[in-house]
Amino acid sequence: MTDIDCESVRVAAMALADGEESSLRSSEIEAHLVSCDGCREEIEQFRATNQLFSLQQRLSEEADLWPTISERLQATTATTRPFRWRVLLLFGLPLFGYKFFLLLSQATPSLWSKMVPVILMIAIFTYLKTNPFKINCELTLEEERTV
Amino acid sequence: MNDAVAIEKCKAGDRDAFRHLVERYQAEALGHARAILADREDALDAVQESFLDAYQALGKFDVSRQFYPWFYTILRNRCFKLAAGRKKNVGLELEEALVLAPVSEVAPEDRLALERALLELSAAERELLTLRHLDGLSYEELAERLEIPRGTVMSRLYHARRRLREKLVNTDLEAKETIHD
Repeated sequence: MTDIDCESVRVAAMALADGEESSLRSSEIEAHLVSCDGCREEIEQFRATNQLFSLQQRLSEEADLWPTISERLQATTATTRPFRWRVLLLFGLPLFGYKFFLLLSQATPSLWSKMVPVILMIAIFTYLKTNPFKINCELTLEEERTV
Repeated sequence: MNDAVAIEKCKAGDRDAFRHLVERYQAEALGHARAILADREDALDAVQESFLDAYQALGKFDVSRQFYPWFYTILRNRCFKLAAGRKKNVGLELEEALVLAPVSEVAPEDRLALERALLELSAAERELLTLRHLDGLSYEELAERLEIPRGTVMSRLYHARRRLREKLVNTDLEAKETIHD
């Protein structure tokens, strides 16, 4: 028997039978099989299993999921309607402008120093073009759980 | 309409364009979910939820890639999450086909024996074997689809086939015992 372990031979032989590249040359596999009854039998059984599958086809099931998905998408969109910036601008801007005008009229150096962090924050948000405090809800592949 | 156009439209806010993707891939997705979950209702739930997840994540989808392999990642995530919360195929009747279509070249009892043996395997083993044998994915494609190295595909496939054969032998023995009784 060759010094290659049986499992390596079986995995390599299976790959060859599947028409894939294997880690061992076919001559190495053959050399091992000549003297290893266990591997020969195992490989025969692999072929039989493959044969069993060869005529099988995947079941194609009819389903019309669109009505339900469409309904759910509509519901989701309705509940997560984008924030109405226009409304905010319409009411918020005049208020902000008025308040800012009042502040400017009594401007002091300490007021300007208080404004620095606010201006910096606005600059960062603008530069990043996104809210850095937003929770990352991106879909990520979780570790596969074996059942 | 091709997938890339549909996806671009979805990204632009055209929800109806998503219909194209759902109708094109729902049967395939259901087949794959069924292979993992076995139960039809669970599979339907998983597919629906996955399409909703995919719609939400479409903004980050790179249209130069194919849609289905990307979607499959979402789908199998959902399926394994659902499967983790379920007992292992308890009380599942195998009166109806699970993943194998009845074909004239295969005797119904042989198909049923294979279905039973598949049902006895873990969801991950069933997924791997059906992707390889029924969809004909190469080792490279399996590695990409399952996000594991090619060597791991080979080793998992080897062990899954061994387990399947053991189950087939057991199923065969049980069937023979039933006939003798």
